[in-house]
Amino acid sequence: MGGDPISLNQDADLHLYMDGEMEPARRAAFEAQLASNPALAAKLDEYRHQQDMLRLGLDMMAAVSVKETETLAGRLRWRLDMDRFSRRVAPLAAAMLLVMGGWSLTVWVQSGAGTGPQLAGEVDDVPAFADEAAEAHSKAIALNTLQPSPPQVEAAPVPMQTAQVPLPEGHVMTVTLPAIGPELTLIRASIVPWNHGTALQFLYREPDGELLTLFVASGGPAQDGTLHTVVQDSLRLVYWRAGLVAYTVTGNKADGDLLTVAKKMADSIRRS
Amino acid sequence: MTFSLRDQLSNQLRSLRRYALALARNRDDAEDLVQETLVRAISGSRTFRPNGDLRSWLFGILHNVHVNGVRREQVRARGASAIEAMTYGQMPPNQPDHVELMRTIEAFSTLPDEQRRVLTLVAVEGMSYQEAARQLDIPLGTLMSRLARGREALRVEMGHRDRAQPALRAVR
Repeated sequence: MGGDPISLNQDADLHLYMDGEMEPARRAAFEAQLASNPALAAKLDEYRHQQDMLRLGLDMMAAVSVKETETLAGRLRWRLDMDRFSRRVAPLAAAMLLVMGGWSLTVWVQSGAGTGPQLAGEVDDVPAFADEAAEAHSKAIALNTLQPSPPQVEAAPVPMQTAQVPLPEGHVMTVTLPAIGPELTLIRASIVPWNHGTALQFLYREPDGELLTLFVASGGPAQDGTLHTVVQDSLRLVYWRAGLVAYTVTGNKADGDLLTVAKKMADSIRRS
Repeated sequence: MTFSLRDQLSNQLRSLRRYALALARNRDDAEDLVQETLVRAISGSRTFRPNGDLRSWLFGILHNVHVNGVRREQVRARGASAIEAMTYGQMPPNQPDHVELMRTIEAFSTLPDEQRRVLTLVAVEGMSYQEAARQLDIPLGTLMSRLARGREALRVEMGHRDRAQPALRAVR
């Protein structure tokens, strides 16, 4: 490879030209440089060949069909289709609800009125425990999608109760768990180790089959029971703290519904 | 041209796998990454706007899952030796460019994370600079310098491998 050396500007232009990012007015001038500089032209060929090899190599490796992945893709397709359908019929449904006077509940939820915890609204920063809750919920969904659910037992509503959370250095902390209404069925409870100690995860199934996670983590600064909502990795989360315990509720519910569930839970803890 | 959601998702699944392979450098980890991305997309499907860009949305989730996984040390890149085994297993030996393909992917897997990400989005997935910079949440200038450094590093690495393993040429 000989000829003129390649200047820094030419080297930068090489990428713009190759990736179709160069302004049309400059292309002709750069093509003239390519024609007169064999070293520059050779480097362009080399980059192009490298790109072809990279595309081909990754594409061949990506050309596999994994049953579980295809199942998940099918579920996502169905979900997006359903969401699209829901959006189309939502205005009509809202109008019908208003006619029936059902708007009062919506107003109540959106305004955060009524007794009990206050609503702080959307926040930008996601606390570590809420981030962990999103992670735990996604894993639980994956497990539930890829494995058959364990047989469920018809159970009466679970009254409020307490649980022992192991802490570092052998300590144990007693945390209050919220009362759960008959609409939620507990299908799994597990201890989740995370970066800041130990947490409890409760996985519930709702009547429509959707899954909901309650994530209870100990430690952290004591705060009032203000409810916060946040989106993490496309997942809506509602969290609050009561004393030294942090609670996060997440699931694939409509925003207002998720807030209503969280509000009920927070109320039951506050009353304890 | 309008593609149905089914077509779009089928296309994006392969793109997601390519990007996941570039990030994870291991077939099993890459498949886990794609599956977790789909799980999160299912959970958060309501955040996808009807006329939104499906590829950007899915790539954004995959990117976050990967970054979070690395931060928590749950998704481990097993390095170049693993991708070597993967390429041997995945590429048919009668492929004319088999050896060169394998060596390109091996060399690619030795590049730093940020260069692999940029190269995959621009050179493999064909994203514009603007789109890729937005996807990675980095300035345009940073994207361009990473792209140039990545291409050059790959070229140099391939040159080293050519000199170190001349006998492999005879297989082509």
